[in-house]
Amino acid sequence: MVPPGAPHTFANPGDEPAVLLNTFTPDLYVQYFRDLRDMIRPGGAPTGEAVVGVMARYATEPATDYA
Amino acid sequence: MAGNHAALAVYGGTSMTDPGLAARLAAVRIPTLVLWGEADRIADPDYGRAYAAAIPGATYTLLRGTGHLPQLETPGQTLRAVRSAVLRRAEVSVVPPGEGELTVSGPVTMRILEDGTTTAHRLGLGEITLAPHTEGPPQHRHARHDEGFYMVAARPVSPSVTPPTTRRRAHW
Repeated sequence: MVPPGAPHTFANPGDEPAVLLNTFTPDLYVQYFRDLRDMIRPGGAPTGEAVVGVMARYATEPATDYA
Repeated sequence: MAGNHAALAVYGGTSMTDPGLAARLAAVRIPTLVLWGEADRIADPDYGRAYAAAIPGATYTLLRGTGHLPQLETPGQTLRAVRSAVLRRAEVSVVPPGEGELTVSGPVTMRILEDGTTTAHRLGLGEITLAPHTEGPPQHRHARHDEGFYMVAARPVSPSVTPPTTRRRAHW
């Protein structure tokens, strides 16, 4: 679980696709994924700057606490 | 699509204005549900709120991710809201395997299983598929919601180290 304020990220270093369930309480952040989808072209990937801009709409900010 | 416009013309007429509407709404005497697209930019949610307030006892419900034409844009969500009101009880929401709204950005696919419509915004739930050798988003923190992660499927990490240059960056 990741409470508000806790820095976090993740990755898939393995050779197979990773599937995970992601909960949001409340539902605030679901719209973030829709926004990202709508701002990039099919098959494209968002830039870091654009992502930070979308995060800011949902009370989310970049963190540097962990190397 | 053509049928939709024909039906709308029957209900709404062909004029864009109706000066007597507000007074007639005040005379409605049956249980009424007003559904409005949260992202409607033609008649915004405040307009909808005023519309509902003009009808005695009306219930006002916003439809998430929906603009001016709910019946075309989010028919599943719209029908569930109507059914719940008609049946006067909550209805379960079922997302069958392989269905659900997809949001794809780069190597990340998010399948939305619950967008908060069924839970009065208390809970959102999604299934994320992350491509192999993909880095996560920039490290970040949220201020206004909790997140939970539960790994459903993944192979053990390969012992061989993948050069960073071959990794793709994903964003969450």
